[in-house]
Amino acid sequence: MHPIAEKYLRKSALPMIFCPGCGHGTVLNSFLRAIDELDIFNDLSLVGGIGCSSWAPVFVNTDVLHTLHGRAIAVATGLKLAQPDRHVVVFTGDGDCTGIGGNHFMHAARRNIDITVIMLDNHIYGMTGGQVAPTTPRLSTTQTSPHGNPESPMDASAVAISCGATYVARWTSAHPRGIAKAVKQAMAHKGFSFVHVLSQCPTQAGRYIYGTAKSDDLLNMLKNGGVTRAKADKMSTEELADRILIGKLHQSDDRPELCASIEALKQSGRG
Amino acid sequence: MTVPNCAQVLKRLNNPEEDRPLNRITVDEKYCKGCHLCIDQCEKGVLAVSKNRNAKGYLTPEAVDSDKCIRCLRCELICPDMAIEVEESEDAK
Repeated sequence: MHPIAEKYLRKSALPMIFCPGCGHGTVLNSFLRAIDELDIFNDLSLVGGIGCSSWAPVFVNTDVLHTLHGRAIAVATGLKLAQPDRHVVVFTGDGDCTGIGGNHFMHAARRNIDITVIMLDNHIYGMTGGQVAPTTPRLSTTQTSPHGNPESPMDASAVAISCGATYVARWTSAHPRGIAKAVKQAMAHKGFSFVHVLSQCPTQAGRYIYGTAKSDDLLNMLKNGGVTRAKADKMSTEELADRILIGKLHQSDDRPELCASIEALKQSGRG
Repeated sequence: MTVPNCAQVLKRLNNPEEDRPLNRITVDEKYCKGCHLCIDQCEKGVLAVSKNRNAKGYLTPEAVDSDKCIRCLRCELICPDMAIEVEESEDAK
């Protein structure tokens, strides 16, 4: 076992529940490396909703809240407001964040509260049996769309930016160094930080959407599909059709942060 | 071991002869789930499927040619169960 895992993982909860070849473990691996470099483990609180992705914080030996389906960001908002000194990180899935908890996601971004949301996007509701999620590609076959999904997927990063998130980055599980860098930047950033990580799901999305249960093929699909902003600028629209833009998508400091605004109101005697 | 940045990895990939102390690659059989992402992601073909089944019945990977390892730590970083460790070692096998 790696020394970082030895140091930070909750031994009694191991082995992780993820299927063999699932990308969520890779994301947790990168997250722990980022936390190790930042050295903020004692001030860390993790929040998860329901789903495969939300199991990721459960294996970390720190304060963890496992909450209702979709309400992870709502609980994290309350936690951050009660204890503004803590670093609050939410692990959530695509169905949990954009589907069931879509409203909380939009409003946390609008309020610009200083939490970090790591969304593990595997394009499907994995744990509950492979139902269609808001991020499932159009015309793909799932358990609840046997004739093809008639709906178009949503881009969670674009929603976060448009709602006012002040840090947005997107990576895939094939880019562990990129995830660690994004987590470090997101934790250092004051304001709502959204790290969108595309991850492979060999059991559900792999078999039904992409036609292969081989995790290495799915990982290489993500690895080759990712394109950075610098490269994308030199490519034509046709070349970019099936590619995923990765890297830091947005960062700004122009919106006030919620905890700081409340503190300023208290100081002025109005709060 | 500190994770090298992309420029360092590229340098080691292009100049495999220099900057290569002996490495020991250990796979923790207790936590390995046999997904073999490490074998697929290794650029140098250091790892291969072994004939050893762990307690859960998964075939674990093993380092067959650790002389080729350039310490890019790709296997360590990609492992979903954090079961792989690459160490610098004088008595590597």
